[in-house]
Amino acid sequence: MNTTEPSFKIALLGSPNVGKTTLFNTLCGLRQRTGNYPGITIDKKKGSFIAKEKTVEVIDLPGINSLYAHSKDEELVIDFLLDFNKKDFPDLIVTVVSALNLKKNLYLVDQIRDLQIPTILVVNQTDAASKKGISIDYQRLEKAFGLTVVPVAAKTGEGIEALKEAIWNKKKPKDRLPHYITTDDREELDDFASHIKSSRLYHSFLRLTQELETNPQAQKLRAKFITERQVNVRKLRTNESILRYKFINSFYEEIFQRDQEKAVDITSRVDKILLHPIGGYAIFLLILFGIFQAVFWLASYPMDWID
Amino acid sequence: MAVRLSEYTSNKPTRILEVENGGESNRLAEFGFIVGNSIQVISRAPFNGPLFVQIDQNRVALRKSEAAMITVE
Repeated sequence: MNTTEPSFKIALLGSPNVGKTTLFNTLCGLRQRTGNYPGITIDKKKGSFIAKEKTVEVIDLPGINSLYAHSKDEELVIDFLLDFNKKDFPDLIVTVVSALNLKKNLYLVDQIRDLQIPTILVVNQTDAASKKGISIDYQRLEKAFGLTVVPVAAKTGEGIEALKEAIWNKKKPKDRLPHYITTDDREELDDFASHIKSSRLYHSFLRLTQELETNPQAQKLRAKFITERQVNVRKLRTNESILRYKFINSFYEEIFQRDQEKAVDITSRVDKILLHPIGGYAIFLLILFGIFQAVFWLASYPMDWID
Repeated sequence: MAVRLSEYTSNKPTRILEVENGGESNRLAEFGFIVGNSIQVISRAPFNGPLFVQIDQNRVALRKSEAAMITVE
Protein backbone atom coordinates (compact mmCIF):
# COMPACT_ATOMS: atom_id res chain seq x y z
CA MET A 1 0.00 0.00 0.00
CA ASN A 2 1.13 3.46 -0.79
CA THR A 3 1.35 5.47 2.39
CA THR A 4 3.40 8.46 1.26
CA GLU A 5 1.93 11.84 2.05
CA PRO A 6 0.51 13.39 -1.08
CA SER A 7 2.86 16.15 -2.07
CA PHE A 8 0.48 17.84 -4.43
CA LYS A 9 -3.25 18.32 -4.32
CA ILE A 10 -5.59 19.20 -7.15
CA ALA A 11 -9.36 19.60 -7.20
CA LEU A 12 -11.63 19.08 -10.17
CA LEU A 13 -14.24 21.76 -10.46
CA GLY A 14 -16.89 22.52 -13.06
CA SER A 15 -20.52 22.57 -14.05
CA PRO A 16 -22.54 19.37 -13.83
CA ASN A 17 -22.24 17.06 -16.85
CA VAL A 18 -18.90 18.18 -18.19
CA GLY A 19 -17.26 14.83 -17.47
CA LYS A 20 -15.44 15.63 -14.23
CA THR A 21 -15.90 12.15 -12.87
CA THR A 22 -14.85 10.55 -16.15
CA LEU A 23 -11.73 12.69 -16.02
CA PHE A 24 -11.23 11.73 -12.39
CA ASN A 25 -11.39 8.04 -13.27
CA THR A 26 -9.09 8.46 -16.26
CA LEU A 27 -6.55 10.34 -14.17
CA CYS A 28 -6.56 8.01 -11.20
CA GLY A 29 -7.03 4.81 -13.18
CA LEU A 30 -7.42 1.56 -11.33
CA ARG A 31 -4.97 2.66 -8.71
CA GLN A 32 -7.48 5.05 -7.28
CA ARG A 33 -8.60 4.62 -3.74
CA THR A 34 -11.93 6.30 -3.56
CA GLY A 35 -12.85 7.27 -0.09
CA ASN A 36 -15.53 9.41 1.35
CA TYR A 37 -14.55 12.81 2.45
CA PRO A 38 -16.76 13.90 5.31
CA GLY A 39 -19.35 16.29 4.00
CA ILE A 40 -22.67 17.42 5.31
CA THR A 41 -24.93 16.04 2.64
CA ILE A 42 -22.61 15.00 -0.13
CA ASP A 43 -19.23 13.44 -0.52
CA LYS A 44 -16.20 14.70 -2.29
CA LYS A 45 -14.40 11.82 -3.92
CA LYS A 46 -10.69 11.43 -3.50
CA GLY A 47 -8.16 9.54 -5.57
CA SER A 48 -4.55 9.79 -6.59
CA PHE A 49 -2.05 9.18 -9.35
CA ILE A 50 1.70 9.32 -9.61
CA ALA A 51 3.41 11.79 -11.91
CA LYS A 52 7.08 12.76 -11.87
CA GLU A 53 7.55 10.31 -8.99
CA LYS A 54 5.22 12.30 -6.84
CA THR A 55 1.80 11.38 -5.57
CA VAL A 56 -0.87 13.76 -6.74
CA GLU A 57 -4.07 13.70 -4.79
CA VAL A 58 -7.23 14.45 -6.75
CA ILE A 59 -10.47 15.68 -5.24
CA ASP A 60 -13.57 15.35 -7.37
CA LEU A 61 -16.03 18.06 -6.37
CA PRO A 62 -19.74 17.96 -7.15
CA GLY A 63 -20.79 20.10 -10.11
CA ILE A 64 -21.81 23.72 -9.64
CA ASN A 65 -23.43 26.05 -12.15
CA SER A 66 -22.06 29.24 -10.69
CA LEU A 67 -20.57 30.56 -7.48
CA TYR A 68 -24.07 31.08 -6.14
CA ALA A 69 -25.40 28.17 -4.18
CA HIS A 70 -28.84 26.83 -4.96
CA SER A 71 -28.46 23.59 -3.06
CA LYS A 72 -26.56 22.08 -0.14
CA ASP A 73 -23.89 20.43 -2.26
CA GLU A 74 -23.24 23.62 -4.19
CA GLU A 75 -22.94 25.44 -0.90
CA LEU A 76 -20.30 22.98 0.23
CA VAL A 77 -18.24 23.47 -2.92
CA ILE A 78 -18.43 27.25 -2.65
CA ASP A 79 -17.41 27.23 1.02
CA PHE A 80 -14.55 24.96 0.08
CA LEU A 81 -13.36 27.32 -2.66
CA LEU A 82 -13.61 30.49 -0.63
CA ASP A 83 -11.64 29.07 2.28
CA PHE A 84 -8.30 29.48 0.51
CA ASN A 85 -6.30 29.92 3.71
CA LYS A 86 -7.13 26.45 4.94
CA LYS A 87 -4.21 24.10 5.37
CA ASP A 88 -5.53 21.40 3.03
CA PHE A 89 -6.63 23.80 0.31
CA PRO A 90 -5.66 22.31 -3.07
CA ASP A 91 -2.46 23.48 -4.73
CA LEU A 92 -4.33 23.78 -7.98
CA ILE A 93 -7.96 24.03 -9.03
CA VAL A 94 -8.54 22.24 -12.32
CA THR A 95 -11.58 23.92 -13.83
CA VAL A 96 -13.25 21.56 -16.26
CA VAL A 97 -15.52 22.76 -19.06
CA SER A 98 -17.23 20.92 -21.87
CA ALA A 99 -16.52 21.77 -25.49
CA LEU A 100 -20.15 20.93 -26.14
CA ASN A 101 -21.54 23.66 -23.93
CA LEU A 102 -18.68 26.11 -23.85
CA LYS A 103 -20.32 29.47 -23.39
CA LYS A 104 -22.36 28.52 -20.35
CA ASN A 105 -19.32 26.85 -18.81
CA LEU A 106 -17.07 29.83 -19.45
CA TYR A 107 -19.35 31.84 -17.20
CA LEU A 108 -18.19 29.76 -14.24
CA VAL A 109 -14.58 29.99 -15.44
CA ASP A 110 -14.85 33.76 -15.48
CA GLN A 111 -16.04 33.69 -11.86
CA ILE A 112 -13.32 31.26 -10.75
CA ARG A 113 -10.76 33.45 -12.49
CA ASP A 114 -11.66 36.30 -10.15
CA LEU A 115 -11.08 34.22 -7.02
CA GLN A 116 -7.32 34.66 -7.50
CA ILE A 117 -6.47 31.06 -6.81
CA PRO A 118 -4.12 28.96 -8.94
CA THR A 119 -6.19 27.37 -11.67
CA ILE A 120 -5.91 25.85 -15.12
CA LEU A 121 -8.67 25.32 -17.63
CA VAL A 122 -9.42 21.87 -19.05
CA VAL A 123 -11.67 21.66 -22.09
CA ASN A 124 -13.19 18.19 -22.02
CA GLN A 125 -15.33 16.20 -24.47
CA THR A 126 -13.27 17.41 -27.43
CA ASP A 127 -13.90 14.07 -29.18
CA ALA A 128 -17.67 14.48 -29.13
CA ALA A 129 -17.30 18.13 -30.11
CA SER A 130 -15.25 17.48 -33.23
CA LYS A 131 -17.85 14.94 -34.32
CA LYS A 132 -20.36 17.75 -34.12
CA GLY A 133 -18.19 20.00 -36.26
CA ILE A 134 -17.07 22.19 -33.36
CA SER A 135 -13.60 23.70 -33.43
CA ILE A 136 -12.13 25.81 -30.66
CA ASP A 137 -9.17 28.17 -30.78
CA TYR A 138 -7.42 27.16 -27.56
CA GLN A 139 -4.66 29.73 -27.86
CA ARG A 140 -7.16 32.51 -28.14
CA LEU A 141 -9.06 31.06 -25.19
CA GLU A 142 -5.85 30.99 -23.18
CA LYS A 143 -5.26 34.65 -23.95
CA ALA A 144 -8.82 35.68 -23.15
CA PHE A 145 -8.65 34.38 -19.58
CA GLY A 146 -4.93 34.40 -18.96
CA LEU A 147 -5.11 30.74 -17.94
CA THR A 148 -3.34 27.63 -19.19
CA VAL A 149 -5.77 25.69 -21.36
CA VAL A 150 -5.55 21.93 -21.90
CA PRO A 151 -7.91 20.20 -24.33
CA VAL A 152 -8.70 16.61 -23.36
CA ALA A 153 -11.06 13.80 -24.16
CA ALA A 154 -11.38 12.01 -20.83
CA LYS A 155 -13.28 9.13 -22.40
CA THR A 156 -10.51 8.19 -24.83
CA GLY A 157 -7.62 9.44 -22.70
CA GLU A 158 -6.50 11.97 -25.27
CA GLY A 159 -4.63 14.91 -23.77
CA ILE A 160 -4.32 13.32 -20.33
CA GLU A 161 -0.52 13.24 -20.47
CA ALA A 162 -0.47 16.94 -21.38
CA LEU A 163 -2.75 17.61 -18.44
CA LYS A 164 -0.45 15.73 -16.07
CA GLU A 165 2.37 18.00 -17.27
CA ALA A 166 0.31 21.17 -16.98
CA ILE A 167 -0.68 20.67 -13.34
CA TRP A 168 2.83 21.47 -12.13
CA ASN A 169 2.46 24.95 -13.50
CA LYS A 170 0.52 26.25 -10.54
CA LYS A 171 0.83 29.96 -10.81
CA LYS A 172 -1.78 32.33 -9.55
CA PRO A 173 -3.59 34.11 -12.39
CA LYS A 174 -2.53 37.69 -12.93
CA ASP A 175 -4.73 40.35 -11.39
CA ARG A 176 -7.19 41.86 -13.79
CA LEU A 177 -9.68 44.67 -13.52
CA PRO A 178 -13.04 43.48 -12.23
CA HIS A 179 -15.48 43.54 -15.13
CA TYR A 180 -18.35 42.03 -13.14
CA ILE A 181 -19.35 45.28 -11.49
CA THR A 182 -20.28 48.70 -12.80
CA THR A 183 -18.03 51.61 -11.87
CA ASP A 184 -20.90 53.13 -9.91
CA ASP A 185 -21.19 50.08 -7.67
CA ARG A 186 -17.48 49.58 -7.32
CA GLU A 187 -17.12 52.06 -4.49
CA GLU A 188 -19.76 50.27 -2.49
CA LEU A 189 -17.93 47.01 -2.92
CA ASP A 190 -14.61 48.51 -1.89
CA ASP A 191 -16.26 49.82 1.26
CA PHE A 192 -17.74 46.41 2.02
CA ALA A 193 -14.36 44.75 1.49
CA SER A 194 -12.73 47.01 4.03
CA HIS A 195 -15.78 46.59 6.27
CA ILE A 196 -15.22 42.82 6.46
CA LYS A 197 -11.42 43.26 6.25
CA SER A 198 -11.03 41.23 3.09
CA SER A 199 -8.27 41.90 0.60
CA ARG A 200 -9.91 39.91 -2.18
CA LEU A 201 -12.49 41.87 -4.05
CA TYR A 202 -14.50 39.06 -5.63
CA HIS A 203 -14.63 37.18 -2.34
CA SER A 204 -16.16 40.28 -0.82
CA PHE A 205 -18.60 40.54 -3.71
CA LEU A 206 -19.76 36.97 -3.15
CA ARG A 207 -20.09 37.52 0.57
CA LEU A 208 -22.09 40.66 -0.02
CA THR A 209 -24.46 39.25 -2.62
CA GLN A 210 -25.29 35.96 -0.91
CA GLU A 211 -25.60 34.71 2.63
CA LEU A 212 -22.47 32.64 3.13
CA GLU A 213 -21.61 33.41 6.72
CA THR A 214 -22.37 30.89 9.39
CA ASN A 215 -21.06 33.01 12.18
CA PRO A 216 -23.78 35.32 13.61
CA GLN A 217 -21.34 38.19 14.07
CA ALA A 218 -20.47 38.22 10.38
CA GLN A 219 -24.11 37.81 9.42
CA LYS A 220 -24.99 40.89 11.44
CA LEU A 221 -22.16 42.87 9.89
CA ARG A 222 -23.42 42.06 6.40
CA ALA A 223 -27.06 42.78 7.20
CA LYS A 224 -26.14 46.11 8.75
CA PHE A 225 -24.12 47.14 5.72
CA ILE A 226 -26.94 46.23 3.34
CA THR A 227 -29.60 48.21 5.23
CA GLU A 228 -27.39 51.20 5.93
CA ARG A 229 -26.16 51.54 2.37
CA GLN A 230 -29.40 50.30 0.81
CA VAL A 231 -27.53 47.79 -1.30
CA ASN A 232 -29.58 46.26 -4.09
CA VAL A 233 -28.17 42.75 -3.97
CA ARG A 234 -30.39 41.47 -6.76
CA LYS A 235 -29.28 44.21 -9.11
CA LEU A 236 -25.62 43.56 -8.35
CA ARG A 237 -26.09 39.91 -9.25
CA THR A 238 -28.05 40.56 -12.42
CA ASN A 239 -25.45 43.09 -13.52
CA GLU A 240 -22.72 40.56 -12.82
CA SER A 241 -24.38 38.07 -15.20
CA ILE A 242 -24.90 40.69 -17.89
CA LEU A 243 -21.34 42.00 -17.63
CA ARG A 244 -19.73 38.56 -17.59
CA TYR A 245 -21.66 37.43 -20.66
CA LYS A 246 -20.71 40.69 -22.35
CA PHE A 247 -17.07 39.88 -21.66
CA ILE A 248 -17.43 36.32 -22.97
CA ASN A 249 -19.34 37.47 -26.07
CA SER A 250 -16.57 39.93 -26.88
CA PHE A 251 -14.28 37.09 -27.96
CA TYR A 252 -16.54 34.05 -28.18
CA GLU A 253 -17.09 34.12 -31.92
CA GLU A 254 -13.36 34.18 -32.52
CA ILE A 255 -12.70 31.08 -30.46
CA PHE A 256 -15.74 28.97 -31.20
CA GLN A 257 -16.59 27.76 -34.71
CA ARG A 258 -19.24 25.28 -35.63
CA ASP A 259 -19.53 23.69 -39.03
CA GLN A 260 -23.28 23.34 -39.39
CA GLU A 261 -22.98 20.72 -42.14
CA LYS A 262 -21.16 18.32 -39.89
CA ALA A 263 -23.55 18.88 -37.06
CA VAL A 264 -25.33 15.58 -36.70
CA ASP A 265 -27.00 15.91 -33.41
CA ILE A 266 -28.44 12.58 -32.31
CA THR A 267 -29.88 13.99 -29.10
CA SER A 268 -32.09 16.49 -30.87
CA ARG A 269 -33.27 13.87 -33.35
CA VAL A 270 -34.17 11.45 -30.57
CA ASP A 271 -35.72 14.29 -28.57
CA LYS A 272 -37.93 15.16 -31.50
CA ILE A 273 -39.55 11.76 -31.25
CA LEU A 274 -39.43 11.09 -27.51
CA LEU A 275 -40.44 14.60 -26.46
CA HIS A 276 -43.20 15.00 -28.99
CA PRO A 277 -46.29 16.49 -27.28
CA ILE A 278 -48.49 13.52 -28.18
CA GLY A 279 -46.08 10.90 -29.49
CA GLY A 280 -43.89 11.30 -26.39
CA TYR A 281 -46.72 10.33 -24.07
CA ALA A 282 -47.71 7.49 -26.35
CA ILE A 283 -44.16 6.09 -26.24
CA PHE A 284 -44.02 6.59 -22.49
CA LEU A 285 -47.28 4.64 -22.00
CA LEU A 286 -46.12 1.98 -24.42
CA ILE A 287 -42.90 1.45 -22.42
CA LEU A 288 -44.81 1.32 -19.15
CA PHE A 289 -47.25 -1.14 -20.67
CA GLY A 290 -44.30 -3.19 -21.94
CA ILE A 291 -42.73 -3.35 -18.49
CA PHE A 292 -46.06 -4.23 -16.92
CA GLN A 293 -46.61 -7.03 -19.42
CA ALA A 294 -43.06 -8.28 -19.07
CA VAL A 295 -43.37 -8.61 -15.30
CA PHE A 296 -46.35 -10.95 -15.62
CA TRP A 297 -44.96 -12.75 -18.61
CA LEU A 298 -41.57 -13.35 -16.95
CA ALA A 299 -43.15 -14.20 -13.62
CA SER A 300 -45.24 -16.91 -15.26
CA TYR A 301 -42.12 -19.07 -15.72
CA PRO A 302 -41.06 -19.38 -12.05
CA MET A 303 -44.74 -19.72 -11.18
CA ASP A 304 -44.99 -22.66 -13.53
CA TRP A 305 -41.90 -24.26 -11.98
CA ILE A 306 -43.34 -23.94 -8.51
CA ASP A 307 -46.53 -25.53 -9.69
CA MET B 1 -44.62 42.28 -31.11
CA ALA B 2 -43.71 41.71 -27.51
CA VAL B 3 -45.10 38.60 -25.94
CA ARG B 4 -44.36 36.53 -22.86
CA LEU B 5 -42.34 33.41 -23.58
CA SER B 6 -45.04 31.33 -21.89
CA GLU B 7 -47.50 32.53 -24.53
CA TYR B 8 -45.11 32.46 -27.44
CA THR B 9 -46.38 29.88 -29.94
CA SER B 10 -43.70 29.82 -32.62
CA ASN B 11 -40.64 27.57 -32.69
CA LYS B 12 -38.54 30.12 -34.56
CA PRO B 13 -35.58 31.73 -32.82
CA THR B 14 -36.46 35.04 -31.21
CA ARG B 15 -34.84 37.68 -29.06
CA ILE B 16 -35.28 38.45 -25.37
CA LEU B 17 -36.70 41.92 -24.77
CA GLU B 18 -37.08 41.87 -21.03
CA VAL B 19 -36.60 39.66 -17.99
CA GLU B 20 -38.74 40.50 -15.01
CA ASN B 21 -37.01 40.99 -11.69
CA GLY B 22 -37.80 38.77 -8.75
CA GLY B 23 -38.08 35.07 -8.02
CA GLU B 24 -35.41 33.16 -9.85
CA SER B 25 -34.40 36.06 -12.10
CA ASN B 26 -30.78 35.93 -10.92
CA ARG B 27 -30.60 32.29 -11.77
CA LEU B 28 -32.12 32.91 -15.21
CA ALA B 29 -29.46 35.56 -15.87
CA GLU B 30 -26.72 33.09 -14.94
CA PHE B 31 -28.08 30.71 -17.54
CA GLY B 32 -27.88 33.40 -20.19
CA PHE B 33 -31.46 34.65 -20.15
CA ILE B 34 -30.34 38.20 -20.73
CA VAL B 35 -31.95 41.02 -22.71
CA GLY B 36 -30.84 40.88 -26.34
CA ASN B 37 -29.93 37.19 -26.36
CA SER B 38 -31.39 34.88 -28.94
CA ILE B 39 -33.67 32.12 -27.70
CA GLN B 40 -35.57 29.29 -29.32
CA VAL B 41 -38.36 27.11 -27.99
CA ILE B 42 -37.62 23.50 -28.91
CA SER B 43 -40.73 21.90 -27.51
CA ARG B 44 -43.59 22.43 -25.13
CA ALA B 45 -45.09 19.88 -22.81
CA PRO B 46 -48.87 19.57 -22.95
CA PHE B 47 -51.19 20.26 -20.01
CA ASN B 48 -49.57 23.62 -19.27
CA GLY B 49 -46.25 21.90 -18.65
CA PRO B 50 -42.70 23.17 -18.91
CA LEU B 51 -40.96 24.52 -22.00
CA PHE B 52 -37.74 23.22 -23.43
CA VAL B 53 -35.67 26.07 -24.78
CA GLN B 54 -32.29 26.56 -26.36
CA ILE B 55 -30.16 29.49 -25.32
CA ASP B 56 -26.74 29.60 -26.98
CA GLN B 57 -25.62 25.95 -27.02
CA ASN B 58 -27.36 25.32 -23.78
CA ARG B 59 -30.71 23.57 -23.46
CA VAL B 60 -32.84 24.42 -20.49
CA ALA B 61 -36.28 23.34 -19.31
CA LEU B 62 -38.30 26.21 -17.92
CA ARG B 63 -41.37 26.11 -15.73
CA LYS B 64 -44.35 27.98 -17.10
CA SER B 65 -43.97 30.54 -14.30
CA GLU B 66 -40.33 31.17 -15.20
CA ALA B 67 -41.15 31.45 -18.88
CA ALA B 68 -43.78 34.06 -17.97
CA MET B 69 -41.00 36.27 -16.58
CA ILE B 70 -39.37 36.50 -19.98
CA THR B 71 -40.69 38.79 -22.70
CA VAL B 72 -39.65 38.04 -26.28
CA GLU B 73 -40.09 39.66 -29.66
